[in-house]
Amino acid sequence: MRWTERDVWNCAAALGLDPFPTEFHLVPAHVLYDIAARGIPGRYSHWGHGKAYFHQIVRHDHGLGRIYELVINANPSQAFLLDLNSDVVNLMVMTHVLGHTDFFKHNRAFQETDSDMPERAALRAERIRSYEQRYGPERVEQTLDQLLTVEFSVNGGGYDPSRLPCRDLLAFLVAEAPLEEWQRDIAAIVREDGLYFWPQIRTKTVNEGWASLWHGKLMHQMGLTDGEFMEFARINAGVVSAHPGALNPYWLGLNILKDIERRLGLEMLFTVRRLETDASLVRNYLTQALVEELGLVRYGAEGERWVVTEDDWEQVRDAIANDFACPLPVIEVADMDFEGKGALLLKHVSDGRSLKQHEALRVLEQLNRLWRRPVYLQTIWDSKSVIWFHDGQASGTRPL
Amino acid sequence: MSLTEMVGAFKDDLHSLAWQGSFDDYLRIVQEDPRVTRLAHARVYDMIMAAGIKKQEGSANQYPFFGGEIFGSKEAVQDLVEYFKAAAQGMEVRKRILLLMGPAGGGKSSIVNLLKKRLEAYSRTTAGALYGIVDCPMHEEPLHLLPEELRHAVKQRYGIHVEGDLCPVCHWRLTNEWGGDFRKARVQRVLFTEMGRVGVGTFSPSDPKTQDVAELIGSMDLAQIGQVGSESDPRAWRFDGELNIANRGIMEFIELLKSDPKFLYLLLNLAQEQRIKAPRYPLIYADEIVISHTNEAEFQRFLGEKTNEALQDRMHLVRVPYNLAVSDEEQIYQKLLGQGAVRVHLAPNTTRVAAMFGVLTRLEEVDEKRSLTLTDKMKLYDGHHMEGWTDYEVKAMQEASPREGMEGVGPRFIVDALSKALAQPETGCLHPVQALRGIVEHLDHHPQIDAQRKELYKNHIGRVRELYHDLLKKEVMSAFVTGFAEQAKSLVGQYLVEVNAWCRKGKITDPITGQPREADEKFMRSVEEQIRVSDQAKKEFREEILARIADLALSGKIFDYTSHDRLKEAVERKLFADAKSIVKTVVQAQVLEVDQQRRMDQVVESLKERGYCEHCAREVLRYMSRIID
Repeated sequence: MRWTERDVWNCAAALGLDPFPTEFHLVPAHVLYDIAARGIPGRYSHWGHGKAYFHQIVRHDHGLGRIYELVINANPSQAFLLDLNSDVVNLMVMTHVLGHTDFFKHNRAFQETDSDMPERAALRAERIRSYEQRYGPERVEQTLDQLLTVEFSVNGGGYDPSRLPCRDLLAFLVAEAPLEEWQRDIAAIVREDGLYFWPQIRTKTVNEGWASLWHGKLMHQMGLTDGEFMEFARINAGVVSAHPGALNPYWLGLNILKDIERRLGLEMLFTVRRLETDASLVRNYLTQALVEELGLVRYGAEGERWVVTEDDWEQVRDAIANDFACPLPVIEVADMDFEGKGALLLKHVSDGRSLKQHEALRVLEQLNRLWRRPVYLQTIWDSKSVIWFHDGQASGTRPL
Repeated sequence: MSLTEMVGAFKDDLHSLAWQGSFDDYLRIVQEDPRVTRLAHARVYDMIMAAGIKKQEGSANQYPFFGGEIFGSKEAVQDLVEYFKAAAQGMEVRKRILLLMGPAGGGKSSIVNLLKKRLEAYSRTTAGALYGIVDCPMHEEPLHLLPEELRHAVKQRYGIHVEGDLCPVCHWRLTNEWGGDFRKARVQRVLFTEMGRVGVGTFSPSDPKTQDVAELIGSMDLAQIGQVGSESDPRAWRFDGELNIANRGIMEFIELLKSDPKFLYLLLNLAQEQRIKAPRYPLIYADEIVISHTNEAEFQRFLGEKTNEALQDRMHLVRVPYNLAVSDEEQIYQKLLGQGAVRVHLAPNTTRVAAMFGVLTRLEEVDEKRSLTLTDKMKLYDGHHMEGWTDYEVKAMQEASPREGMEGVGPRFIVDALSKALAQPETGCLHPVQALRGIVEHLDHHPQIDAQRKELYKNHIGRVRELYHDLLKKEVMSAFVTGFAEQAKSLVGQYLVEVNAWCRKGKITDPITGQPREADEKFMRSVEEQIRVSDQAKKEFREEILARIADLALSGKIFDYTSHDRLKEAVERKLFADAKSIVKTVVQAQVLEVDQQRRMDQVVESLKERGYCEHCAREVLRYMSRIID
């Protein structure tokens, strides 16, 4: 490669970025996809990771999708690049990664994140392996299966025994579920991992937008030949353009940030990088002009056809902001001795969107195994309050 | 220099190499240059390394020693060199028999012949010089004369390790002729020669009933036995077997596994103990490289027999599959065809298409999930780069098919087919289409290839023909399109103008009508589709390109499209498409008008600059006009 890590770093620093020190590793596809499936290198093994791995690798083999890079938020940050990438692509990826590690270092959402996640993940994996040896892989797997159904229900700042409801479902389970010590440890591990990933989920769009904005700027500074530049432009256009069927976070984030730079100046961009999450970015900075330029509308199915259901720009903006504010349903623990029988009552804090019933029932089934008594979930279904449950024998619905 | 002078000078050279002296003289030579005492493997290794080494990341090292003779077979050569390296350092492997295994015509004998020939030459150089005891049938190392007690001191003092003992003949003479005084022995320079049966031997198995181990270890001298009286007297034995005379050099054992077990067991001793056993004599020390070759079926059969276990252990296998790289294969044909006396013109790409066919027959079908065609695989193996494939992955793919290259047609088949095509009288020149036709004919008459295979191979011919069409189109079209570079540049220039207008939502003045118009979306997409920019991504793509042009404009530069391979190709393809109709009219016209005639002559001239002759230039043009659609 013509460019060294130092070149890229210096160029980024000259433009005002201040990333974590970042270590780059060039790896073959199977290594990259393994890390991607686990989320953190060296994390414990679970069949769910294997499933994710094969899903990705099959897509890769068929040329349907490729992960170009992967970056671990830590200090120093660890970035993994695919050795299949051409030099130009890997240069683009390196500049992109520095955008991410700059964002990790400065954005408020990450202030609580441990900076030594890979080491910790390895230690936790070691503990889980030792539990597998002592208690058998089946029991460990069952415990993980049960806990991973709510792996991201960690928001809400812990559990205070004197106060219900509690939105930190995992913290509650660690404290109150009838678990053996080793299971409690696994529950704590799942929660810690969830806490690590949660801010990344909440800042996906602004983070990708930020990284894309800077890789764009940096690539103009790296002395590419015209041919290399054209290759970059081609790959870049595929990444940051609108994709059919989904809201591409790269595209939306980049366009909002570019708009901020145009209207409010570079200075303001750095403030945005420090303060905003996806929801606040959209709420504070998605303007009418931009909604129209990007052609953003809400749409839905009407019979066989897709139709626009909402094109008022403020409604569209708020809908996106709300989606971003709650990327996952909010579930709180309402009662741990429901109807005086030690049953668990959960409550879905509805934002107008309904849960998928078949998935919710599977989650209840797993939680029932963990809680060992019936588990109830109160939610809104068909505009009515209902309770779904699993009592160890069967799952079902009953009126409130 | 006249021929007589030349031959005379050579004889003088040879003469000057001959040297004879006393044992003391030899000791002085040894002290000055201990290399003369090297064992056979070390000498061969040094010989190979003297030509240098070319290291390449991601692929096997290249050894110029084999260059010009052995093409491809990089892994085999690397294996071989590694064997010699370990053996040269005195490791156990030097006690193994080298066995080259591969399909017929894959280059096994070429490798052995090369080693033998070059070793002969090397022994004539200063770097490769060696000496032996005069009149010793095994031209053995004179230091064998040093008694055991002295050897230790010699090693301590001079670092010279002496391995092995005197042969029975020299031993007899030491006692009987020189009265135990080893310094009376005479020493001479040894020059390897296969013709003269010095240092290079060859054993070929024949009828197992009549073949005798004497061919390997020598035999009783019936004329002498009457005089000396005893069968165990070394004077009564002729130490002239191949194993004897190849001492200190190379012994080639042709088709080792076809020979009778009694020969193999003789080799067992040699391999393990470095000693040859002749009846009624103590084991005789020998220092030589035993190298043999066999095919895969023979080898599998050999492996299958439990009784061969001891021997299997004492072999070092080197796989020599057929070549899988088209450019190497092409060189093999050129070498083989060049050996003939007939000089016929070969049109460009002729050996190339033949090599493509050859390689295709040897490739294994690709794992479907990688969605790789056989043609792509062939290109990857030939060192082409393809998106999504690293050198490492190509290597891994190759390693995943260890039998690849063990089947298919060999260079001999192809060269025979080409030679037959060449021999057809009226042509005077062979072009790719004739070559392919020649291969098909040869295929039809080939008794060893079954119908199913023939069918498969004919599919390969189809593949090769398509590849050739692409090559030919490119060649003919660039001969047709005059001022090609300028046209291409203006095409890209036009694209950039359109992009500029599109991004700025401005208008363009149409060069023909003079009227302002919108950017030509269809034209822009036609270029973008060639480099795989999707319709959704076009906006972002154009904006980046525009930003680039702006950057360039600041420094007064213009966009250089040629540095993007795919764009370059796309532009060429577009220009060719436009030129197609001209090609058709000119080439297919029955009667040419004056300017058409001139155009045609220009094209032929241009093709001649690319290596065609008058005849084949016109041939390929005619062919081209048929396939152009």
